[in-house]
Amino acid sequence: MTKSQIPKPASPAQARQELRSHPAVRNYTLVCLGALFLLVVCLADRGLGWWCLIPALIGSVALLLHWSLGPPMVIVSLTGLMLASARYRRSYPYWARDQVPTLMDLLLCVAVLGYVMGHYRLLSLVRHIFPPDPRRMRDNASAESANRRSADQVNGRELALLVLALPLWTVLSVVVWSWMMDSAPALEMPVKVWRTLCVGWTALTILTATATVAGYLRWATATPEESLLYLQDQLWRPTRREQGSLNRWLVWARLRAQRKKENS
Amino acid sequence: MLTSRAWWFLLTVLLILSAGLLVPSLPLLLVGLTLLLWFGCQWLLFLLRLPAVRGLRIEREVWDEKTAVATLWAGQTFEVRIRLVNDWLPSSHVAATDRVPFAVEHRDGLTTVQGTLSPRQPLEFSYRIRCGTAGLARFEGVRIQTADWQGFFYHAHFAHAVVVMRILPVLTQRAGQPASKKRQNLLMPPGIHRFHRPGSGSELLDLRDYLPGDPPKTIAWKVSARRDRLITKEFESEVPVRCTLFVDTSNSVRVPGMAGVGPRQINYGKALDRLVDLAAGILQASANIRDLTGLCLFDEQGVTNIRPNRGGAHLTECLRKLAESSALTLRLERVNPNHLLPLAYSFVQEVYPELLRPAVNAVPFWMTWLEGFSSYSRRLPLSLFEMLRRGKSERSVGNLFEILHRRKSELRTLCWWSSFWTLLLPLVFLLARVVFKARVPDGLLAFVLFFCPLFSLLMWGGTSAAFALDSLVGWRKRRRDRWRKQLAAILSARYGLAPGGLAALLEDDDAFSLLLQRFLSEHQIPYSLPLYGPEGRYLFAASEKVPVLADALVRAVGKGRDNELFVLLVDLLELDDCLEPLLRAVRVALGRHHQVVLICPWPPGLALPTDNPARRATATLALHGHTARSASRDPQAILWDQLTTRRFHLAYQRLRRTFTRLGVVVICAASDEPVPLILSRLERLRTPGRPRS
Repeated sequence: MTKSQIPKPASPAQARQELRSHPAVRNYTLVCLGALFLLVVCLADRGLGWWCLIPALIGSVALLLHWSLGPPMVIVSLTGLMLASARYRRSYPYWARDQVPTLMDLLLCVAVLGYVMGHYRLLSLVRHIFPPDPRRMRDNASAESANRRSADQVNGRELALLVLALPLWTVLSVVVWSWMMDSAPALEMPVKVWRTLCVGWTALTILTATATVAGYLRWATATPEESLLYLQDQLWRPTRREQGSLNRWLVWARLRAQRKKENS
Repeated sequence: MLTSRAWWFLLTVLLILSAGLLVPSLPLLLVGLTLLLWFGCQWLLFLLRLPAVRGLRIEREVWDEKTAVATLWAGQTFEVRIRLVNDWLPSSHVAATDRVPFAVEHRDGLTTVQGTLSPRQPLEFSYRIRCGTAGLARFEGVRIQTADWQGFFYHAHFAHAVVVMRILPVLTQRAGQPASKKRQNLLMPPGIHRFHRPGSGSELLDLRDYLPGDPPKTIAWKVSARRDRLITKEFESEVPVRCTLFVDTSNSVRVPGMAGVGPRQINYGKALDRLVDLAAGILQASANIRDLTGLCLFDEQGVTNIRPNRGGAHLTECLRKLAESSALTLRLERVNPNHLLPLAYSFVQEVYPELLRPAVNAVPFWMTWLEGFSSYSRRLPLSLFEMLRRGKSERSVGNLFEILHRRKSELRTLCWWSSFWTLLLPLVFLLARVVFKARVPDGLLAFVLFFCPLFSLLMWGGTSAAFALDSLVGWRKRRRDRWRKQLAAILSARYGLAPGGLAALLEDDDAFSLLLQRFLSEHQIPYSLPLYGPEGRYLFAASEKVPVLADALVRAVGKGRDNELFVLLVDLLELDDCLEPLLRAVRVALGRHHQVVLICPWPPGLALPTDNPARRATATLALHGHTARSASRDPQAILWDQLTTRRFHLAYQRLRRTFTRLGVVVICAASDEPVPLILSRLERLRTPGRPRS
């Protein structure tokens, strides 16, 4: 290939434009927009009127500007809207009434999960999938492109799995919810507190067990150098003052001998 | 493990879940549960896939145009092919980045590849490199970053696959070799040279009148018939010539040159590279004419000898030694390790991230805030006396903060002890008065009761203020302490000093600095050291090498035969006071009828020394133009360059005068002077019998 035939690298603006028109980016954008539309439908069904557009608007702006805080903002706005609606309608608590989730509740889960998955995967393609290295922040363009996931890596299977995962996780959450419903409160606790404790303890137990197993595996696969460092650190911490004093004298003696040698 | 993206998301999910449980609201609870379950399963999946990243295999091959090679050549282009193989479950999204060694230059191709590692589908990528000067290219391994598709979980790992490849010096082209004008009829035996003196060789040297006793077979009958008297043919002598190269590898030639700016050029600008190139050229030229050639690499500490020999294996061995010596970096005791800390820490962060994990190499935050490390041998910029003398200058204030930061432990101990005694003293007085009925004056008791708590309060207040001041201004020092402790722990474990080595390296700056230099040198990381000491003395003159070289030369003379050629490739500029041992050794060599040639490396960027006044003026003008362009804003820099050039020219003239008196030819190996030119000079010198100039 001659020098004239070598394609010139695209400018950052050009590369960004190309990336936006990539099929993978377009597909994830469509998934997010679909999820937001579903969210609007679910909220409108609850009779929220024009207010039902707020999470969708926030989500759309976040999608357009590629905000990494888009999904948390949508979730927070949704929570606020639902809480305000509940206070306004005074139609709770449902625990006592053995309420069953409706189709719209399930669709709401699908919509939120779909938006979250789509938005974060989109961010991985257009912003970064790996956290940016603060040491390389100066060169923004190259750092971003290095940390970005290549859009060519996305295939149809990945999108199909995403669509399939949405009802799966929704059904799983319903199963967990029904398990919670079945367990009777102990120690004559209020139902609300009992459910909160159940969820909290279950999550904590799972997290602790996972962390323990992961930690054990990490130690089991540690290299000899890591193990030696660990042992050295364990010895140094309690004895650092004594070791420091000893070594200070040793250094003093060495320096004195050196000075004498130089003077002589 | 969790990225900031994941933390924000988790926080929001917990918020929605709490709202769903506590308000309560079924849709919010279901949404929260869905998101939490999905997030937890993603986490678990990521953890399950991590062993695939930690246990992957790296297969690396370096190819030239035809095949895979184990040795590189200076100035040539090679292709590096890497294959990442995983025998575990398919991994999460992976980005693998190969670390290009400093000794080579990345030409084209990507050093990074993205994708998913699975047993069936390994990741492969390749890129091209161009080797610089001779040395070592150390491929450390591949940096692996892995994350899930959402960017919630992240893990960085460095897969170590160390391959050290020698970059052998560039081969001299055949066209560049000295031209042969020989009118010889027979091919000389290996290592034998024509000697323009009468002897028993096979080549005709001259014709002369017949003398009684001359063998009849040497009579030139046709010429005798023409001249009508007996004429005898004289033949040349054929003698063996052995060449020994003495190559200087001391600190003085490892100093990066003035032309070398930036981390990548640092390897190309030192005088040692030039010496190695010259030595390699001479070795190859000698090998082509089948001379016996030996090599002696020396520095301040000692010598490495390769006996004179010939053949391909011997040449390769010599080139390998030269490549290894070319990779040597500066080594200096008593250097402040703070110069090297950022570089070394940054390197360790990238290549050994597992050794900086808080689980194995922790620096609790309170340790740097409340204790600090005293570093007994660390020299302060100013002594206490000088600090008081200079008064309120910027350096004095900096010095004061440094003392405050280092002596926090002592300050705290002093505070505790003074409080203890100031509280004990009133108690002693009270006991003496009440129990032992001693006469303690009321005034003294009141004084002690009032002033001791006040003093204690003042001590605590002062100490707290000092700690607060240090916490405000000492963030750089705290960071330096953290780096120092972590690096000291790693060096101690790496070089077999554990378990007590960590504390020793924290106190002893010199030992720590030497180990740090060794660590960087082993990993072929170019680094710079201050060239001048605090008293303004040049630190890399390396005068200790002169006795070592003299000793090596005398030994070589002792083991030599007739007609040895000793080529000294050594930097002796500005070492006039220490040359006596070398001059004695040279006299011994010359007295045994050997020849000595001195090749002196010339600093890059400086005008060449020349005898011709017109050329000298031109060179000086050119240099001034160059320096004026490069440092047009700084007249001091121009003046500095002129003075440096002048200083080097004078040093070269002194050196040349000293050695020419003995009959030794001095050649200046300037950076732009080609190897063949120097070879042709050597070729002229190699022929014995030439009149000494």
